[in-house]
Amino acid sequence: MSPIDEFRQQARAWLEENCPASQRRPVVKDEQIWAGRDRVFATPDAKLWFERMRDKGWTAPTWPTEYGGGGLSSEEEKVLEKEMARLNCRPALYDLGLWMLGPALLVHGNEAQKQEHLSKIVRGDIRWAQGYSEPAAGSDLASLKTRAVDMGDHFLVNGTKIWTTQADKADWIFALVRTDASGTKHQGISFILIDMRSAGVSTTPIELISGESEFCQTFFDDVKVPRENIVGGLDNGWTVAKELLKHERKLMATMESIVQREDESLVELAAEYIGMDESGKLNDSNIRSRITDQLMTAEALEYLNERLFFQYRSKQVDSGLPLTIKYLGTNAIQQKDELLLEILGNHGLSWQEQSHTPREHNIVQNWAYNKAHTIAGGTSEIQLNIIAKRALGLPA
Amino acid sequence: MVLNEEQRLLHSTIRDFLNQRAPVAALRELRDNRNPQGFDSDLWNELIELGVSSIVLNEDNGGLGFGWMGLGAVMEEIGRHLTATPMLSSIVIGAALIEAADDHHSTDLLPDVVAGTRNLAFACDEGLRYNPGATAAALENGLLQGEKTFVINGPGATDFLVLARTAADSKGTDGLSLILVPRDAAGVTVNRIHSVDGHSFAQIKFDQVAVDNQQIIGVPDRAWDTVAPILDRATLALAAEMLGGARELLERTLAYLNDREQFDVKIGSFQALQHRCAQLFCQLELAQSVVYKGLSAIDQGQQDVAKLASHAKVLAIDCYQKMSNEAVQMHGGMGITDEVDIGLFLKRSRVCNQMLGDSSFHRERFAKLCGY
Repeated sequence: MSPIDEFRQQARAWLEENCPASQRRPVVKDEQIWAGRDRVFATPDAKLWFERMRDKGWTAPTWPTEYGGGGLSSEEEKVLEKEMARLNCRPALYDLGLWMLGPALLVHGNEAQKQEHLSKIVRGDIRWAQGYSEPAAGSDLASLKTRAVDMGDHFLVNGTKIWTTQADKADWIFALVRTDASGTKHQGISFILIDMRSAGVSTTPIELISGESEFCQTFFDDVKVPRENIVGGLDNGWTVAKELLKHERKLMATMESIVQREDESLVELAAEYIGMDESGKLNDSNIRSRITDQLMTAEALEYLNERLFFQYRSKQVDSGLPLTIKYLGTNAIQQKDELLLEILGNHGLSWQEQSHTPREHNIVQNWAYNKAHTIAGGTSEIQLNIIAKRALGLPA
Repeated sequence: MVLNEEQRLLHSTIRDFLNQRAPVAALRELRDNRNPQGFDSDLWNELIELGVSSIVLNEDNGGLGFGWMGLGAVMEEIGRHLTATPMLSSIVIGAALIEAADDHHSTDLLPDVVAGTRNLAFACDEGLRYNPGATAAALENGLLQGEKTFVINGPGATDFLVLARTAADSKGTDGLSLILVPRDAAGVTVNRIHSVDGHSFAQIKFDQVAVDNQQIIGVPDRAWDTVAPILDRATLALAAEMLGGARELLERTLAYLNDREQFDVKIGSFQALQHRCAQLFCQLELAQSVVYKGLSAIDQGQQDVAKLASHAKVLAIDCYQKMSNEAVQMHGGMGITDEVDIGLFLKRSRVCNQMLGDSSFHRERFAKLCGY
C-alpha cells in the first residue's frame, strides 16, 4: 500500500473512532465552534470533538507540529478533507486566525511571533478579528488612515476599522495601520497585532439587512501597542496583507462548500413547494429551467475545482484559473439563494422566526446575508479587474 | 482532467501543423471555390498520417492510446482553425460506431475508414432539429425509404450510416437500426447544403433503396443502445471543438484590445471592456472544466457520460455564442467585415449549436437525468 493510502486508512479509522455521531451532521450556525478565551460549546459532544481534533493537531492539519499543527503534507490534507467530508464531520474550529493570520505568520512572522501566536490559534484559545477596511477605505484599501505613531518602545494607534467580523467577541485583532504618510499610499503601511483588551479599544455592532450583527466598527483611541507586534517589518504591511488576501479569497470561495453542506437541494425544495406533474417534471417551467442553469453552474464549479487540484498535483497550473474561483463561486451562491427564495413563494418573506418554519426563515436570512459574499474579501468588480490584468494581460 | 505528456505533445504537433498548413484562410478557400466535397482531401490525408483517425480506437484496431483527453486536444485545434475535415462524422462518430457494433464491418469497413479511403457520414436528423427519437425513415421489406437532412460531411462521404426504423409500431429511440448505405446505391440522391459557416452538409433522399441484412450494423432494432453512448462521446468532442473556437476568439479579441487605440489610449484599458473580457474568461474556463470532466470520465471507463455530455454541450453553446457576439462587438467596425476572421467563428458557433442537439434538447435531457 502506498504511504498516502496508508494515511487515508489511518485517518478514516481515527475519524470513525473519534468523531461523535452528533458532530457528523451539517453544522448549524449556533453550533459552530468558534475559538476564544471565553469560547462556549453548544454540546458536550462539540467540546469532545474539538479537543480530540486539537490534540491531534488537525485543527490546523498542515502547520508544523512544533506549533501544535498536524504536520501533514498538502496531499495528506486533501485526503483528510475528503475523509471528513465522507463522514460529514463538522469543522472542529472556526477562527480567522486559523484561516488567515496563521498562514501569513508562517510566511512573514518572526520566530517569536510564531511561538507566541500559532499554537494558541491551533488550540482555539484566542479568537482573532481582522482590521482592514475603514469607512473611507473599502476597495481602495491602501488609502487607509488609521495611524500608528512610533513612540520608541511602543506605537500609539488612533483611528477606526469597519467590517471587523465579530470584533465584540474577539480577543485579538490583526490590522493594517499607517506608519508613514510620506510615500505613495501602498508604502508606509504596517501589519500589526493588537490585544483587544488594551485600553482605548471599543466596538459597536453593525446591524445587517439579514437582521444579524456579525460585523462591528472598531475604534482605537490612543491605544498602546508593543513594538514587537509588527509583523513582516515596519512599513512592509502591504506585502503581508496581500498574502492574507489570497487566503481570504480562497476562504470566501470555499464558503460555498460550507454553505452547500448546511443548505438546501433546489430540486427537493421545488418538488415540495411547487410540485411535479405525472411525468416527473416540476410544475413551473421557468423555475425548472433556472434550476438547470444553477445546477450546471454549481456542478461546473466543482469540476473547475477538481481540475485545479489536478493541475496543482501535476504542477501545470494555469495561473489565471484560480483567479476565477471567487467571482464564480460567490455569484453561484447568490444565484441559488434567489431561486430558493422564489420557490418558497410568500413563505420566502419571513422576518421573525415564529411566523414561519425555521427552514424557511433560514433560507431568507441566508439570502440576505449572502449578499456580503460578492463584496467582502474583494468585490466582484475588483476580482474582474484582477482577472483582466493578471490573467488576460489587459493594460492598466 | 489535465493533459499528460504524450497528449501535450500531440496537442502541439496538431497545433503547429494546422498553423502552418491550414490556417483559417484554408476554410475561406473551400468556401469561395465551392469545393464539391466540402473538405481538402490532401489535408485530411496528412492529418491521418499524423494519426488523428486512430486516437480513440481500441488497440486491437490500431488505436494509439491517446484517449479522449487527447482527442479533445485535437478537436480544440480543429475549432481554433475552423478546419473542415471528416473528423467528427467519419471518425468520432462513424469509426466509433463500427467499432462499438463489433461485427463483420470491423474488418470489412473500419480499416478503410481509418485510412481515409472511405468516408462515413451519420444520417440522423430529419426535421428542423436534432431529435433521433422522431426518426421516420424506415426499412420495410428490404427497402429503405426516407429523407435525412443536415447530414454532417454528407457531400464528401462515400457511405452513409443511416438511422432508420426497422421494428414495426416502435416509438422513440426503440426499434431503430443503423444501416450502411453506399453513396452510389440506386435510389440515393445527395443534395449539398451550403451552410452559413462554409462547411458542408447534405440533404439526402433514400427512395426505395435496396438493403440486405449484411448492411445492418450491430444488432437490428436495437441500434440506439450502441449509438447513444457514441453520440455522447461525439457531443463532448464537439464541445471541445467549440471551446477551441471560443478560446481563439478570446485571444484574438485581447490582442485587438491591446493594439487598437482611441482617445489616445489602448481600448483594452477601458474597464467596461476589461470586465466583459474577464467574465468571458470565467465562462470559458467553467465550460472547459465540464468538457475535461466528461472526456476524462470516458477515459476512466465510466459508463454513464450522458449527463456530462449534455452539460458540456449547453455550456459550450452559451460560451461560444456569447464569445462570438462579444468578439464582433469589441472588434468594432472591423468585426462585421468578411475580411476579418471573427465573423467566420460567429457563423461556425451557430452551426455547432445545432449539431447533435441544441441547447433546449440538452437542457431537457439534463433535467430528466437529474430527476426533475
